[in-house]
Amino acid sequence: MNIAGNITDAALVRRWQQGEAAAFETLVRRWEGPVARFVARLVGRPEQVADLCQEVFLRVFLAGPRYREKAAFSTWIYRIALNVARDAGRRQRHEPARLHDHEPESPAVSAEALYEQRELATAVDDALQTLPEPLREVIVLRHYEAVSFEDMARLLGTPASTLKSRFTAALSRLRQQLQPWDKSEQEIPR
Amino acid sequence: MNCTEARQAMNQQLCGDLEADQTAQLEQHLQLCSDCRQEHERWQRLRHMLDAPSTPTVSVDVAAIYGQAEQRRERQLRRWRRVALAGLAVAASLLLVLGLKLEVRLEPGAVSLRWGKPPEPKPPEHLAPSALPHQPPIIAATVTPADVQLIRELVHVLAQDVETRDRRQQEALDMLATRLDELQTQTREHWRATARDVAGLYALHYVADAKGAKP
Repeated sequence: MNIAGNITDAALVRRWQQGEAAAFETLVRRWEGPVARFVARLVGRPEQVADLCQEVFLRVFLAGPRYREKAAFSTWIYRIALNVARDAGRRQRHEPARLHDHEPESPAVSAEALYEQRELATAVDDALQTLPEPLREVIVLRHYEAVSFEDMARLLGTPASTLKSRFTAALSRLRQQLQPWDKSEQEIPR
Repeated sequence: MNCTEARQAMNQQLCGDLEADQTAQLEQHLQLCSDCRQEHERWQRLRHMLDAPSTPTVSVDVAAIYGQAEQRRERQLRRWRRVALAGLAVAASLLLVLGLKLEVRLEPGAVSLRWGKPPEPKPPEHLAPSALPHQPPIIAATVTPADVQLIRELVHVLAQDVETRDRRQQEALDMLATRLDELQTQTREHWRATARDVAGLYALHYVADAKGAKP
């Protein structure tokens, strides 16, 4: 049964709480991409993303009956994903550093461009991981997930003004770290 | 808008807080100021660079979620059962302890609760103190002046007895001393007599030698 389309998240949750299993699956399909991106940027380990996403949606499923429409569903699911990512981050501190792996790229892209793109992606991932956790969370939520500062304040329990300061601070640090990759500034280091 | 205001506006723009009229003012400034324009372009390139990492493709296994959820619920249920059993055990122990000391008595028209050791049973009416045979009351011992006088006399007798004994011992000691003096006098006289005898004998022997023969 395909119930996707224009149905809002809140309506899907209500139908799911009333016992409609298909509504939950629709929510999963709708949110697995954003959750995967969010978790990947926060944790920085692509090999863990699938397991972490599975854990996020398991927690969503278990907590579903307790969900109330006081806050947006996106805020609620990002909070769960944030907790999962934080738990993973704590475990990760005791594990050896990852090796970068890359997804297969389109053969239409030239080898040089492909190489540059990979290196830049790796540099951005590394730069994100060097940020302190509070700054990284803000940059991921705002830049990658386009969460408003007001929703972010509810999600993180921090005033929006503080989050804006963190966001600009995080961007400044990233700009400093990624300066060698700015083609207009200088040549890409080899 | 000056350069300082333009940099502040850029920060606001990054946060998405820049109003339409401020955006227009910023764009107007950027057309005139090359430094601010370059700074603005750096921010734009950074935002573009941040999109370089590819988004991982994930397909969540919904069926596995149902299975895992069931397992977690069972685990949680087992944990709650253990907690409930432990609570029941504690409650049962408390009841046992309380039940040994708490007595609930149902009487016609009254329910009485009693805690602790039951009171001593009252003796029946026919065994009340008034009904028991008369027993002499216990009188506390008292000391009379006659007793004191008697004790005093006893003490005097004992003291006299001690004095008599001491006197006798002293008399015996005196007799011994006198006897020792007599013996000493006799010994001294015997010694003098012996010395006189020896001197007489020596003189006699020395005179005989002087007359004809050497001793």
